[in-house]
Amino acid sequence: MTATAVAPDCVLTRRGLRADPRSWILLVAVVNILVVGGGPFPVTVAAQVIVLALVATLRRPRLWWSSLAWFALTSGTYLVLPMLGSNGWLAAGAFTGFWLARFSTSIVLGICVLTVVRPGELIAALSQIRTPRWLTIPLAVMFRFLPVVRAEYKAVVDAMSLRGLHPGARMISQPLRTLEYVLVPLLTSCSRIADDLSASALVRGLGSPRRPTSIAGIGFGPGDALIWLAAAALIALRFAVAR
Amino acid sequence: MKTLTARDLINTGVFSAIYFALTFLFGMLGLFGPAAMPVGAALALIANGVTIALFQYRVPKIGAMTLLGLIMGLLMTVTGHSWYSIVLAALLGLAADGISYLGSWRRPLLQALSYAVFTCWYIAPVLPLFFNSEAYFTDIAIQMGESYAESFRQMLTPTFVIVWQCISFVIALVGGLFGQSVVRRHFSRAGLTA
Repeated sequence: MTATAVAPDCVLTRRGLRADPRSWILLVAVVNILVVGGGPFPVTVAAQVIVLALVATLRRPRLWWSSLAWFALTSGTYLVLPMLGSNGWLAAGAFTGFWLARFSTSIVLGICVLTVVRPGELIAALSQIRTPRWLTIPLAVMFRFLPVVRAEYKAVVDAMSLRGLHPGARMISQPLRTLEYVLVPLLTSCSRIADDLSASALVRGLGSPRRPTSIAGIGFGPGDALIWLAAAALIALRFAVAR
Repeated sequence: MKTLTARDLINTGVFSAIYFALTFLFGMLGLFGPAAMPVGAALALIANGVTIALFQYRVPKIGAMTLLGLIMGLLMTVTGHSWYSIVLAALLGLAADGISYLGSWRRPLLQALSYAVFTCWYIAPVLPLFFNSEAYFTDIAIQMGESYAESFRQMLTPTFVIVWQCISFVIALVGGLFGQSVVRRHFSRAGLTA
């Protein structure tokens, strides 16, 4: 991760659309309520279009195509199956498609937000709106720690495989014993890292009562305007097609 | 009442990451087919029994599980699940804190019960299927007629979810007890529970 701050008036960065983390949170909330929370299907289609536009800025063509294909498949299932007949299985299939389409839209938006927003920006934005420290510290640590858990888990599995114990297959035949073999070293090393991290963070003034300053570039810019427009458009559409 | 120190907050973040990673890892088993999904869920429930047991040993304070639940809820919401997760996971975390408080975080049975109560938040992501399916049923009624929609509505009973919830509660209790035993046998000796 580079430490250079991105100015708020820049629209596209190498990582994707630049916007304040608070704008992203707004969009996630709006899509969550309007799409996963039920509501008319055209709103979900509109949200999917917006999400695809956002993913296009990420330079991840595979994610873009698989998101489009998955949404086409699931919403197609929802729209086409009821026309074929009226038996219970078709209805259940359509019902599954109806929900999978909605979940896929909001999950892809989640992936997009997690890719674009840097932990430093998120923390700077949260502390600027006076989020209490008991929430920002665990959140920051968690985002930073997820890759660590993954690396430690791989290290444990590698070490086991090297000694002829393959946790994958044994997870079914001897679940408790295998879980113990994997979890004890994993949790041990993670706990040690947590202790080191606490000591290091305290030395850098994490426990101090003052609000830390940040070099992360947060603030309202053109990217934020686009996101606010998108969110407003979704809300407007929700009321326009309400029945 | 002891408040959460900076060290406790860092531990909460670390264990939230482990908890989420394990849930996600075993959830991926569902990709091998629908039959693997309950197996993955059961393994996740048992594995996280150990995670939470160690976490509660390391941070025996009111608010620890509440905060972990709140973070799980936020993470689930950002990754596209319903926002009900936030409320439910935080409230169940508070309940778990309360149960552990009754036994001063030292009674294995209460600790296991505390974990099992907390894991009930797993139901949150499927809740909108029951609360917000009205839009879908209205659609169905317009396309296929009212009686058809009614018969379909009866197929989707909450019974299935309640039965699964009871089974997973029992699995979580087993996971909690297993976690207590692992912590006693390994982590206490290694001095990691302080």
